[in-house]
Amino acid sequence: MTSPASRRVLLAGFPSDLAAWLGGRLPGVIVATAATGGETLAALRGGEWAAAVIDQELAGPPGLDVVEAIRTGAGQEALPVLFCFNPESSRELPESLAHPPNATRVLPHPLDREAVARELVSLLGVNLPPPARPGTAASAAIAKIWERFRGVMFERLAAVEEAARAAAEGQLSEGPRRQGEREAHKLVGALGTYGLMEGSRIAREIEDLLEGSATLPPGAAGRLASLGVSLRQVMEEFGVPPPSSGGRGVEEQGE
Amino acid sequence: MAWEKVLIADDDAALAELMANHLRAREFEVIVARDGMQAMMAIRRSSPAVLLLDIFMPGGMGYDVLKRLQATKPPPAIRVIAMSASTDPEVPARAKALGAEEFLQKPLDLEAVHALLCRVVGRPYRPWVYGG
Repeated sequence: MTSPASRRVLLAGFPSDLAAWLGGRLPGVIVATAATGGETLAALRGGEWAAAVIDQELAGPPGLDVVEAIRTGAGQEALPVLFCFNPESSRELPESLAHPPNATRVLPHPLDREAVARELVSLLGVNLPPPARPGTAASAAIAKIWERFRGVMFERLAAVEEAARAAAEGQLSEGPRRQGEREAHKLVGALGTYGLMEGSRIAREIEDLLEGSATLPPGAAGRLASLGVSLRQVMEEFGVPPPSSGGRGVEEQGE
Repeated sequence: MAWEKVLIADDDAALAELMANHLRAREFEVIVARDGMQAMMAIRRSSPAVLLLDIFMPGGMGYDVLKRLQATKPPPAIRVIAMSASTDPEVPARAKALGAEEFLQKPLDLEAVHALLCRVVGRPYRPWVYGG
C-alpha cells in the first residue's frame, strides 16, 4: 500500500536493481520501472508522478522522443525529468536538453547511482540519509536468498582460488583448471543477477584466463591471484540490506 | 485469473531460486528443474507455458532439450527462452536455430526477465514498484 505522502518516480530504461536500490535509498519515494518508451508514456498517462528518470538508450521510442512527447502531451508538461545520456554518442545532447521545456536535469553515463539519488533529492525535496556501505543487496528479499546460498557461492570461490593458487605455484593441472573455469562461469551468471555486478565482472575475467588450457600465458598467474583476492573482498562485503530499505519491496510478497 | 506456469531449467540453484522468487512475486507459477532430464519430465507432467532454459547444464545440455522438444510429436505448446553466461555469439544463434524464441545473456536483469515473460505470454507488463 502506498502512503499518501509517497512520491512516485518512474525509472525508464534502467536495470531493476537500480529501481530497487533507489526505492530503499530515498525515504518516502516509490520507484516504478518501465522497459520501453511505449511503456513509459503509458505509465505516465495512467497515474500521477513526481518525476521521471529517462535513459537516452530507451528502446522504442527512444529517450529523447519520450521527453519530447512528455513536453508536448497534456498533463505532464511540468513533470521533472532527469535524462541520462551517453557522452560518447551525443556530444551536443546535454546542451539542447538542459533547457526547459526539455529535460530538467541531465546526467552522463557511466551512472553513479548515488548521483542519481542526489539529483532526485534535489528534484523532489526529500532528505537523503547517509549512504549504505558499497556492495549491499538491493532489497531485503535478495539479501535473504543470498544468505541461504552464501555457502555455495563461497565454495565456488574456493575452487577459483584453488586454481589461482596452483597457477601461482606453476602447478595448475587440467582438473583444477576446468573446475575453476566452471565455477567462475557460474559466478558470472549468479553474482550479477544478485546485483553484484563488480563480482560478475571479476569472475568473467577469471573465467577467460582459465579457459581452454592449463598452460597460462605470461603474467596470467599473478593476475589470477589478484582477481581472486578482489573477488573474495566484494563477495564478503555483499549481502547486508541497506539500512533504509525497510523491507517494503513488493518482491518480498513471494516468499 | 490463473497464473501462467513457467519452468526454470538451471543447474545453479542459487540463481534459479532468485529468479523463482522474483517471478512468483509477479504472479507466475514457477517450477524449477536442475538438469535437462528433469526439465523434459516437468514439461511432460506440468505443461508449462514458458521454459527459461540454461544452455550449459549437466544431465543434458540445453541444446539437447531443444532437440528433444523439436522431435516430440505432437510438439508441446511451450515457448522457450534460452539463457547463458557465455559470450560466444554461436550460443544464442544455435539456441534460436533449435527453436528458442529469445535469448537472455547472464547475468540477468530480473525485471527485464519479467517484462519479457509478460510479452511472451501476452500479459500486460506493469511497471514494478519498489520502496515507499
